[in-house]
Amino acid sequence: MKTINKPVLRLVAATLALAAAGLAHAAELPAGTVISAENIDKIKSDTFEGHTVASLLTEKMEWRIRNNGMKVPLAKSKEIPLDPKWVKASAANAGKTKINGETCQVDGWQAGQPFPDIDMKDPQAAEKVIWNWHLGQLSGDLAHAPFFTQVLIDGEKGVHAEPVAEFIRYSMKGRLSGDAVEGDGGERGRQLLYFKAPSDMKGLGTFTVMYDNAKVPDVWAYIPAVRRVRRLSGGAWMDPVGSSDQLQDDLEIFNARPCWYPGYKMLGKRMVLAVAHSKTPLWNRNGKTFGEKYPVLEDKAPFWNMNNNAYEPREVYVIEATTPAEHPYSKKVLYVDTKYPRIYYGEAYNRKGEFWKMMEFHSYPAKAEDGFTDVRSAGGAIIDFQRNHATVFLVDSGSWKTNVAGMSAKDFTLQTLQAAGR
Amino acid sequence: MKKRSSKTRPARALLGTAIAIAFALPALPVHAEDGNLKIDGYLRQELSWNMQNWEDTPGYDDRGKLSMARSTARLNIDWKATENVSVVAKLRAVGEVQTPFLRHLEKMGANNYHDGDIMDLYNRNDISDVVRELYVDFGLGERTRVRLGKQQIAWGETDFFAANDMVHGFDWTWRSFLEPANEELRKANIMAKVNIDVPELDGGVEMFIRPGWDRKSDIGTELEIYGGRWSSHPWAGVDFRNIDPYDYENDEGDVRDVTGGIRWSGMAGDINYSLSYLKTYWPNPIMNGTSKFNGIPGFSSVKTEGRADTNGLFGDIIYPIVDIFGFTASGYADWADAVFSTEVAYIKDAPYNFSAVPGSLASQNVAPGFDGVKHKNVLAWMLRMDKNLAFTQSLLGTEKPMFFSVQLFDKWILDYDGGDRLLNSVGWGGRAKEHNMLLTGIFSLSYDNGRVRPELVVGTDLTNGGGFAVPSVTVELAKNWRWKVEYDKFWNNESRDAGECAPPNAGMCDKSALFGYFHKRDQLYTSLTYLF
Repeated sequence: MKTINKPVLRLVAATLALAAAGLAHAAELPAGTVISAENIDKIKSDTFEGHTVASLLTEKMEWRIRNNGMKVPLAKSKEIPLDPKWVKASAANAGKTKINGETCQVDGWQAGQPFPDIDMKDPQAAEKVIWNWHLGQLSGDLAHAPFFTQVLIDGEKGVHAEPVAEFIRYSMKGRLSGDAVEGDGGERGRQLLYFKAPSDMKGLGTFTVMYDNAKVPDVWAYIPAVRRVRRLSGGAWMDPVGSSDQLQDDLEIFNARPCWYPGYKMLGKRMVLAVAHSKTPLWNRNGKTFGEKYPVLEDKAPFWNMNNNAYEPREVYVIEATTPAEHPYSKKVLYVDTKYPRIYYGEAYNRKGEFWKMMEFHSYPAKAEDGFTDVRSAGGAIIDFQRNHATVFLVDSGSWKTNVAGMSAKDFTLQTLQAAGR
Repeated sequence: MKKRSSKTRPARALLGTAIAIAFALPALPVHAEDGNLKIDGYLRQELSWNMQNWEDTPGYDDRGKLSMARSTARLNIDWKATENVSVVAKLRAVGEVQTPFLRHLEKMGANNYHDGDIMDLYNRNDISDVVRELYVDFGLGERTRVRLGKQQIAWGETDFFAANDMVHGFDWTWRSFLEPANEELRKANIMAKVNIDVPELDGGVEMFIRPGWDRKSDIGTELEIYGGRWSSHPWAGVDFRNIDPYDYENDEGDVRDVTGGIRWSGMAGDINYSLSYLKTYWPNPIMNGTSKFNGIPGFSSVKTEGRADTNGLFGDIIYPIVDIFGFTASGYADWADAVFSTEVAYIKDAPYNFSAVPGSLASQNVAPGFDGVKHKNVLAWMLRMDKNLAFTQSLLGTEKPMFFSVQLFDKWILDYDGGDRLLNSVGWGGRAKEHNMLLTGIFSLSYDNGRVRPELVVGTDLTNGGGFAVPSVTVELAKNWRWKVEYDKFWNNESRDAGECAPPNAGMCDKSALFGYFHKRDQLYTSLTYLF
C-alpha cells in the first residue's frame, strides 16, 4: 500500500501546490513590464500574451538577465507584414524546390523563400529553414545603409572604438523586381563596404562577390595607406571581421553558405521574446553623450545590453548547426522566426563545448523606395562572454534605403571600389 | 657652412608646429560626416633615436641620440560640390625640431649646398609641400570618371621594392623606405586621369597624362644624398650636390616633359590582371658624369648624357625617362587558402651607372659611379603569397589568424654582361648581378580586439647579403589615440670602409650593396597619433 500511495500523494500535493501558487501569484503582465534581475523570480510564472515569462526566455537570456544586466521590456506582438511579391514568389516554390547537396544549390528556386512549408517531421527541416534564411530574406534587391557603426565594448571600461561605415548589398539572384536573375546566374550578390571614420580607417573598403554555389566569396580590399586594391583570402569566411567579436560567419548571426556546414538539427519550435519591431534609430551619430549616441544601450557595465528596446513574443525554430572541423565554434544554436526568415538569437560554443558568445539582432519592417516591404536590422550585439567584450552593430536607420531606382550590377564592380577610394 | 642664428632655428621649428596646429584646430569641431563636406585628419608626433654609433661621424657618439622629433598635422577635405563633382584636398604641415644630432650632421656639412640649413630638409612647408593633393573628380556619362589636379597614382601590386609603382618618385629624406604608408612618401604630381569602366569585359581602362607642370623637385625618387639623418653609410654630413647637383632639365629627362600611361585592369575568370604602359622618370637617381672635367676637355673619358656637359664639377643627378611595360595578376587559390600575386615590369633601356677600369678622375677620388651611363633592358618581377595562419590563435593567443605575406622580388638585367661593371647605385662599389633578388616577409598579429597589434617585417638581399628586421607594435590607447613603437634593425655583408677608399682608390675599394648603405643605422622609432 505504502509503496503505491506515496508517489500518488506526492503528485497530488505537488499539483495542489502548483495550482495554489498559480492562483496566488500568476498574472498576465502588462506591456511595458521590464524583466530584470530584480523581478525575474517574482514574475517568472506570470504570463505575457498567455505564455509564462519562464517559457519566453531562453536559458542564456535568463542567465544574462540574472548575471549580466540584461533587461527585457515587454511589448505586444504584432504581425510582420509580408510583401505580396515575396509571398507570391515563395508560394510558387512549394513542392518544386530541392536541396542539391552536390552543387550546393536549391534546384528549382527562383525567388522568395525556397521552402515555404516546413514540415517538422522532415529530416531536412532545419536545413530548409537555413536555406530559407540564406536565399529568401525580406531584404529587397538593393539594401543600402549609408551609415552604421560597430561599437567595440569592453565589459568593464565601456566603448573603446566606434568605427563608422557604409554598406550596400545588391542581389544578383532571387530579385523580386524585374528579372529574377542578373548576369550568368553564378552570382548570388555583390557587396560594398566602406569605412568613413576614424581617420586611420577612412577609405578602407571591401568589395565582395558572393556565389550561388559552394564557392567561397571573392573579396578585394582597397588599402588607403598604399592606395591599392588587394585581393583577400576567400577562405576567411570563418575568421573575425576586423577587430570585432564577430566572425564573417556571424554577420546577422548566420552568414555562411548552408552547405559549408556539415549538418543541422531541428531542436523544436518554441516562443521567445525578441525584437521584431525595433525602435529606430538605435544610433544617433550626432549624439554627444553615451545616452544620446546609443539610446538602446544602458550606460552601465557591461554597456552592451540593448535594454531600451521592445521585446515581443515570437515563435521560433530552434536549430543546432554543426560547424566544420576547422571552425572556431563547435556548434551554433539559432532561433529563427517561423513566419519569415529572420534570426533573433545565436549561441556559439567553443571547441571544448563551453558557451562562448551570444548574438542578438533587432529588426523592424519598413517600406522600400519602390513600396516593397522589407525587414531591416536596426542593430545587433555579438557578446563574447569569455573575453568580457562585445561588438554592437547599430544602424542610422533614417538614412537606410532599399530598392533605390536606377542602380544595376554595373554600379557594383571592382572599379567602383577603386573609384571610391580616396 | 653658413651659420644660422640660434634664434632662427627654434623659431623655424616653432613656425612649423604652429602651422601644424593651425591646420588642425579649425577642423576639430567640424569633424563633419553629414552633408557635402567631410573633414578628417590627424596630429602626429614622431621621435626616433640612433641605436648604434655611426662609423662615418668620427669623434661623435651617435648612439642614443634623438635623430627625429617631427610633428605633423594632416587635414583631408572632401567637398561634394554637386551630385557629380567632388573637390578633394589633402594637406600636410610639418614641424621638426633641430636635435643635437642633426646639429652635428649640419656641422659636418649636411645640406650645405647653397648654404642650406639642415632643417630645410625636414621642415618643408612651401605651399606645394603643404598641398599634398588637390583635385577635382567628376563623371562624364555613365562610365567615365575624370580626376584633374595634383594626385597620386599607384600601379602594380607591391609596396616593397616596386616594379610598376613608378608613376611617381618617393621622398626618402625624412623617413626612408621603412614607412609602411607609402602614400605619405609619394611625390604627388599634377595630372589628368581618366577612368573608363568596361563592365562588358569585366574591367576598365585608366589613362593619365602629366603635362609637366610640377616643381622640379617633384620628379624622381629623392634619396638622402645631402648628409642628413637618412644619408647612407659612409656619407653622413656629405652633400653630394656640391659636386653633382640635380639637373631637372636634361634631354634624357626634363621636368617639363609630358609623361603618362595607360592601364587595362580586369578579371579573367577568378584572376585579377592588368596590362600597362608607362612613360615615366626612372626613379633611381642617375649620375650623369662630366665629359670635360673642370671645363678641360680630354681629362675625362666620360660621355655626358642629354647635354653638352654637366653643371656640376663631377656630374649632375638626372632622372632619365624610360618606357615600362607592365603586367600584374592576383588570385585566390582554394587549395592553399592563399592569395598569390605576381607583377612583371619590362623596362626598356633602364639607365645604370657603372664602374670603369680605370675609373674617371671623380671615381678615383670620390666614389664609383661617375664614369657614365649604360642602358639595359630590365625585367623586374615579383611573386607574393598572402595567407592567414590560423594556428597563431591557439599558439600565440591571437584574436584572429596571423596575416602572413612573403614576397620574392628580382631585378633581372636581360642583356647582362659582367664586363659592363654595372653598379647598383652610384657611391658604392656593389656591382649589379644578372639577378638581384630580395625576399621579404610580413607577420601581422592582433590582440585585445585590435587594441594591440604587433608586426614583424623582415627582408634579406639574396644576391648581395644583408637584410633588415622591423618589429613593431601599435597600440590603440583610446578611440582617437594610436601609439606605435618600432625597432629598425639592419645588417649587411659588406659596407664601405672610408679608410680603405682614399684616392685614387675611391672607386675600387668596396662591394657594398643595399644593406651596406644602412650600416649601423639601427633606429628606435615611436609615434603618437591623435585622429580627428
